[in-house]
Amino acid sequence: MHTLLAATAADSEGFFAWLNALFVEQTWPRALLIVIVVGLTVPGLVSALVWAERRGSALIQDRLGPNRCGPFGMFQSFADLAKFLFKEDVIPGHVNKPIYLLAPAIAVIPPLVALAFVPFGANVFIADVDTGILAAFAVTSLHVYAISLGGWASNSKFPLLGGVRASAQMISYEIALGLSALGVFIIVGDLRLISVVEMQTDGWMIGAGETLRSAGDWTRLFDWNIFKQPLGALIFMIAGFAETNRHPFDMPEAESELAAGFHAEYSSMKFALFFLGEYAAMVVFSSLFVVLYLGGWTLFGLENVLSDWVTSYGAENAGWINWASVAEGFLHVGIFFSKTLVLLLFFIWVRWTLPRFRYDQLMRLGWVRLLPLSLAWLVVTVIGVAIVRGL
Amino acid sequence: MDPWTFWLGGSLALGGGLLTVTRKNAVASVLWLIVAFLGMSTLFLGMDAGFIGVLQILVYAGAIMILFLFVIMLLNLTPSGLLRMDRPRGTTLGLASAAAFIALIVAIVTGGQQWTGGQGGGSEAAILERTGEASMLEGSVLDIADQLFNAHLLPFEAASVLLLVAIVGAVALTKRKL
Repeated sequence: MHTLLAATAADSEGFFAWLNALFVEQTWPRALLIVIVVGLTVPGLVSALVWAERRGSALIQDRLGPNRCGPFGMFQSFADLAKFLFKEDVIPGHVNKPIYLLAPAIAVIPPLVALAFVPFGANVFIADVDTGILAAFAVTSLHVYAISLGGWASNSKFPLLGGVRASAQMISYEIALGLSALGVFIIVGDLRLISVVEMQTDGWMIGAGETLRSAGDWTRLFDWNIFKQPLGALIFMIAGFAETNRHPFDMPEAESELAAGFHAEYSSMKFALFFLGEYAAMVVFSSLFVVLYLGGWTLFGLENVLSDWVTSYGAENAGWINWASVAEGFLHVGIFFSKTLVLLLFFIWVRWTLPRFRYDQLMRLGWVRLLPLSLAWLVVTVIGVAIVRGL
Repeated sequence: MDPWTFWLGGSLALGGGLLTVTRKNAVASVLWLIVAFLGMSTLFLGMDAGFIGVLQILVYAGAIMILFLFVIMLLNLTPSGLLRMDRPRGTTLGLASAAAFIALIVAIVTGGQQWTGGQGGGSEAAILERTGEASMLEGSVLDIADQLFNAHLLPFEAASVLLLVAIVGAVALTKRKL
């Protein structure tokens, strides 16, 4: 949090220096600006994802999906939102009221806070913390309380079963998630997520001093960690599906077994908050996957095409806003966001393609398969890094 | 530490702890204990010990308490089943251990002046003056890893063996036939 708090002194006084601080340098007003932008973008992105989910499921199942509200039914999510807002907000008489009201709030807050640790571009991030991925994991690990407490506080059979399932499932897969991500950090030697991205432009041989190839050379694709850590990336992906309660691991709400599971007793906007939380958690997990394994904001050198312009523009227009730097920020965020969007569509594709696991299969996969596999892969990674670095 | 951070973290930790032991509903106790852990994490972050602060949330609030919650939900403990405050022996033992703990704290705070360098606690300057090394105070991941895997490797491994023994013991107790 040091970067967040320690305001960089602007070079010159005045309004333009302040504007420059807002758009270009790492200062707290800039971090606040990004907080506001991210906080407003994610709910909009979620409504777009809900539309994509419904149209995608229809495509896969040979239906049409929502097609009445706007072109291709694109405004359906807004209609849904209006319905959520104006429906009667029922609080059943048998619930534990304080915890019942608390659970939907917990569903939304951790995923949104976790985005504070994700670097969207070389200079576009909210907080560059020393503990990096651990901080992000710590915040997302609190997400499970929404489901368990919501299920418990509802005080009826199916929600309780959903809540109990959620708590056991999240704990089981959190271990595999952490262990699989550890391989990346052994290669990088740093927990900071910005270092992880920068390391992925450093050549295929784990920082062995290979000279950088020219910008736009597609073979730089192989610098990405997914090629250095294929099995780790696979385990991280599977565990991430389980952590976000997405199909094929959506045990806590399994419609065919538990009605709607943990949110069976929730209506109108409180149900919508659970929904928002689930999709926001998907966004967080996809962003983390992009940072850890898919090179973050880098795209085989394309992210650096503006760097000469940034330097020259900054030199020519001292005391003015460095618009070149702002453009570079947008380029980085655009690359990052495109990768994240591909992963989010992958989430949707998987949901409507694979059947759901049985609960005992889920537990066996987590403890008997993924946990030993991720430990073995960790040993392989350590040996590989030791050989390459000549230790 | 920033006084606002101290008062915020301290009141969260103490208030959460107090409410944890006074609630009759076990789930509410768990929730207040999580609040207490968040308060302690705030204190650690205020002391620039980011790694410990994050681990406090990740391990205690995020993992251990969810197991507590799992067990409570599975057994469906009711308030009446938990109210056993009428046992005199339990009350006496509890008060005795609380008194011993408070005595320990008082002994450290008042009597241990030579341990804190004689100038009101473990400020960075005081510890630097006493030990001649400042690096131990850095709460970064690298420093803690260096301490754990170089200076204190043996106690660290001994602790992990102890945990392994506990796991084996738990499995042996629950599984009659291995």
